[in-house]
Amino acid sequence: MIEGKPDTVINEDSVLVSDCRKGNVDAFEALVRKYQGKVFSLAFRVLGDYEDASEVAQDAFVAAWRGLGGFRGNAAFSTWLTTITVNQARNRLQQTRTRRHREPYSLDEPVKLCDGCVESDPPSDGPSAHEQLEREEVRERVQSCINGLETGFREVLVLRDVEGFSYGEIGTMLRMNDGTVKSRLSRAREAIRDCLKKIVGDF
Amino acid sequence: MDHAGILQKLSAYLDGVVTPREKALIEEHLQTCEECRTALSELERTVSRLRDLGDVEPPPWLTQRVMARVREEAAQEKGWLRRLFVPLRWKLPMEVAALVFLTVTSYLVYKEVSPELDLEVARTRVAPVSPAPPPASVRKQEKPMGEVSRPAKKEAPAGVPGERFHGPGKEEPAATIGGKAGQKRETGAPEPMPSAPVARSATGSLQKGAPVPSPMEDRAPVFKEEQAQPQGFTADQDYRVEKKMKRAIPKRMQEGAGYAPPPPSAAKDSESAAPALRSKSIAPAGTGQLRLVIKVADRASAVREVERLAELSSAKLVRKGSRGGKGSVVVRLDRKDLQEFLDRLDWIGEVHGKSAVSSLELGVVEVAIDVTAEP
Repeated sequence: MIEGKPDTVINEDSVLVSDCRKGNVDAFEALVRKYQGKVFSLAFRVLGDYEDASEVAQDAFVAAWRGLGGFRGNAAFSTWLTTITVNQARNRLQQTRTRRHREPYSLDEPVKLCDGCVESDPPSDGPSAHEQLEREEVRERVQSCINGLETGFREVLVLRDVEGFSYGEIGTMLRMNDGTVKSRLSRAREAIRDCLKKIVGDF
Repeated sequence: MDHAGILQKLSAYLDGVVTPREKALIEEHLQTCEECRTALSELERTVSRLRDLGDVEPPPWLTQRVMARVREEAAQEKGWLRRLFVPLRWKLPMEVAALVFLTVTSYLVYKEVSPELDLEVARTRVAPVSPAPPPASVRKQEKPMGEVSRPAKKEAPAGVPGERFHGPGKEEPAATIGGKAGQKRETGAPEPMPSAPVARSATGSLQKGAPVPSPMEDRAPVFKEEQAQPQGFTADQDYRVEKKMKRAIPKRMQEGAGYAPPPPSAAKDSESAAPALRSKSIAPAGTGQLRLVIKVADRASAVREVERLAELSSAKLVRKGSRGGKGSVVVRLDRKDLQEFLDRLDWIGEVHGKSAVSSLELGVVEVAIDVTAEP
């Protein structure tokens, strides 16, 4: 999700949202298709698990459908949807934490994120296959570092450095003041840095 | 800002969210502090790695699954509303069924209860005919009443299917009358109470003039019989009966010893009501009839004795009165109990008319006993 969304995007969403509120299910499908990538990615980055992310993404959209009646449109739909996604992911984290012991990142072998899932590359000048593999492996290790963070820190980090939200937006979504966002982000980044030093060569 | 402080601010500095003053301080410090420069550089690389993560492709079925759930919920919501606001297809038959059920139930309940109304009427009819006894004699009368009804009371619960209100409900009217509350309870409790007001009237009438209340068993079998036949009673008639009783009875309650003098019209009311009601207590078809005459010394006490014995023999009092100097008691009982009853009557006095017993068939027998003091 990019900062400073163009007005056209916002207007597009407003029309769809108002249609949805009238009960137009097809309008909602358009929104789902539009934001499923972002919602899923966010869920995945926060949860670190493909299956969990799939479920959370679905839950987030369904929750959005249910909550459309109360969405007054004072915020952008995408921000509102992101908040829902974060909340759903957090709930899931709290559930799974009681069930399975959270494993810290492994120094020797990176955590395999999923079988066959593809991470889309940022634009580059055409890396070789070897480089591709390397990049993917690096990403996996980065993700495993993220998985090692506590929830409160994880959310801030992903929203800021993965998804690109502003400090203000993050503060709104996570209901934190500016100072808290800054300090949490700072500590989260340091933790990732330390982790990367250990498990990613040539850092 | 000291070195440690700057280190902490580097993250914010990286994002450009420090104040201009802070920014100046940091940049000045960075020029001289290698540790901080290294730290900053590492921070930059970390953030860069994170940004490189990029989007993850969602599973291809994600939209489809989401929409399936959403459509289902949308449909359910509509259905729920429909069910609430346009329910006629299902609700209407259900409502009709409920109405029919309630109507039938209440009618059956009423039917079950209504025969007892005539019994109450029959009893109250008796009251004005016998003279109002003075307080003392009333008390005396009520003593045997108490004795008589105790056994009755014990047997009562088994015998009365239709009885519903007993115990506290009956005791209340007793209490309001006061004075004879204790004894009244004994007598009042076992009796069937078709409805509260009627019950009150029944017990009231008892107190006034009916020395021996009919034990419950008297009522129940009669009640059963009447129920078995095609009823001559309709709901309307029952209602009228109840009304008349309500009108008559409260006055009669006052006629009890020690209370306000009875208005003269009270007796008339019940008597006028009585003929209309009398027709109701018709002997069921197929009932044997027996007429007896007992010669006794004291008619009044003999009549009471007859009633008491009738109770002991599971006979039900149909009516009681006096005509032409003779006390009259009509009871109804089963043929099998008749002999025992007749034997007991011998204790009271000379019984005439027993010979007709042999002609009686099995079943219910109505025995009309004339009690006379004539020599």
